[in-house]
Amino acid sequence: MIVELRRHGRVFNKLLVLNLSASFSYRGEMFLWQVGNVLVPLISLFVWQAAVASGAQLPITGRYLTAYFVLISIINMLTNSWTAYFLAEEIRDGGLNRYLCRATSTHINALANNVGEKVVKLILLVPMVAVLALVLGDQFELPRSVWRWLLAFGCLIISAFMTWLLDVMIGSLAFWFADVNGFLRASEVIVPLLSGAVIPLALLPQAFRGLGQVQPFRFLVSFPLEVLLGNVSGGLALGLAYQLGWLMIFAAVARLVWWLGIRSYSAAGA
Amino acid sequence: MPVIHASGLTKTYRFHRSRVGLGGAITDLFRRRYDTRVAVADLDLRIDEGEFVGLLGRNGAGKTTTLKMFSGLLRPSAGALDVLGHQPSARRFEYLRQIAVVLGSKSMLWWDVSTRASLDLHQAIYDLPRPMYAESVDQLAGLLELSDVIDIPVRQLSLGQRMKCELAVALVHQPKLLFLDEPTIGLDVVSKAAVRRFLAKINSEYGITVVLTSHDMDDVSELCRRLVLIDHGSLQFDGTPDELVRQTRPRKRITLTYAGPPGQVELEVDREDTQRVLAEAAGRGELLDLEVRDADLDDVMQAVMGA
Repeated sequence: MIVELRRHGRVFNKLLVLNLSASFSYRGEMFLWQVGNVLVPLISLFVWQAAVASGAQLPITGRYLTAYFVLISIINMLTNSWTAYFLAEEIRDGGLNRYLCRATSTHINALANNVGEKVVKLILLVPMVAVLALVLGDQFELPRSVWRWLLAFGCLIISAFMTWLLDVMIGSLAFWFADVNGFLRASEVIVPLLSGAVIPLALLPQAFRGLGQVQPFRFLVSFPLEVLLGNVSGGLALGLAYQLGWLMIFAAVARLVWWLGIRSYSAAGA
Repeated sequence: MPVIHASGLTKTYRFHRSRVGLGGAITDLFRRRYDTRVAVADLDLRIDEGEFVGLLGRNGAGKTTTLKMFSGLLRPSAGALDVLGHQPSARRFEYLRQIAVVLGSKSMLWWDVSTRASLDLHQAIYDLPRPMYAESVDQLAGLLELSDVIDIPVRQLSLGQRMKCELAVALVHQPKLLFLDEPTIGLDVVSKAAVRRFLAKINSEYGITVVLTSHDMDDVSELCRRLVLIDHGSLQFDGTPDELVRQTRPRKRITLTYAGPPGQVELEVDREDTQRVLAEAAGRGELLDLEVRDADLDDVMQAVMGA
């Protein structure tokens, strides 16, 4: 077991280096993506600030709102995953064969690709967010406690892993459906809204707030930011318990869906 | 000693049969029709160590499905399959480290980096000790004449160079069993010859068992000492290329070239009549050239597939 894990670790390292090299060759395209990642929350911030200036009563402070929208681009990028589309394509056109007939897994490559691309994106995104933070510096503050940063970072890693597991579940639907674009599109609409990537969950209508605290998508984006900014709805301990619980459920379901799917795989093409 | 032992091996696919037109599409939304297709039916086969076997058949005959079951890509629907003492679809490391698969139409190489990077990755995948890995790379680079291309990004290589690199990457972990699916597809004659020479060598000198599917009868006739013909998912023939030719197109082909009219004459005669026909032909004029041969595999496969 340990020998096997070490081998997978070495494969992951090699794949990470390969993915980093490949990602750097697409740095121009990635730069433009990151500009979009910063601009969209910035526009949202201006809209909400205008609403507050017009007398709107919000359940969160203006300083929390600014901190949220300044940091959300980094959190969103780091917890994002794009595995579902590529996994579905591999299943549909038989590209999965390349991994199944070797002593490795497409999932190790997907994880290495995810981490590799994020490293490159982070290098491009951090300077943009730093400029934004300097410009809006007097409108928000960040926590000074190291343990809060560390705890938020731990939750962020779990969030990223959960998003990736969700992608494995959605992508694996290609084992049974010829076209999973409908599922992908639905997830692209539902997940950002319910995860807090578009607006803080506290700004959802009153009727949704109770549900918003326990639903799994909260733990994909919003939760690590709530932990960092010290504003965890329902309390930190309960939030952590929910996140770990959902992580286990996601892992179990992703594993089950993959296991069932691989049994019905038809290895299309060559 | 059997490397592959299949008994009653069967694979069925279930697929959705769509209706025609808008009305059909709407009906499909609510009531889907499914059919089952038998891709491989009750196949019994044994392949021994060191063999070079060609799996032949028309498109959709079941040969690639068979190869995919052997390599663990597909789970058999019924029957028993033992490859190198393992059940392939379990895809255990101990099994996968003993096999290699080369798919002519699906590259195993990383497109944006060099072949050496892919080889390094395979060192990690198969947990190869450094000295063994270095020796294996040197050996393969020498046999496939890859020294000049091994450090060039794969996307910049020609198709022929790429196929050689595919073979090097597939074999770097020194497998016992190699599955090849159309390895020379799209290659020019020089590259095909180089790939065939390499395959013949690894089979004869290193004892690697090879199972090949190909529609290129030159690949098959040059490399395979045993042919397994599959049609409609069932075994139709299992024997040597000569036996297949004799069974399917038993007549000899004689080409006579006379100094005077009628010039060149081509005849097909029964095997037992060959001597008599040749004797008669010699008396009909001055012969410049005479050729007697069996039907080639291309003719045989046309006859088999057209039947």
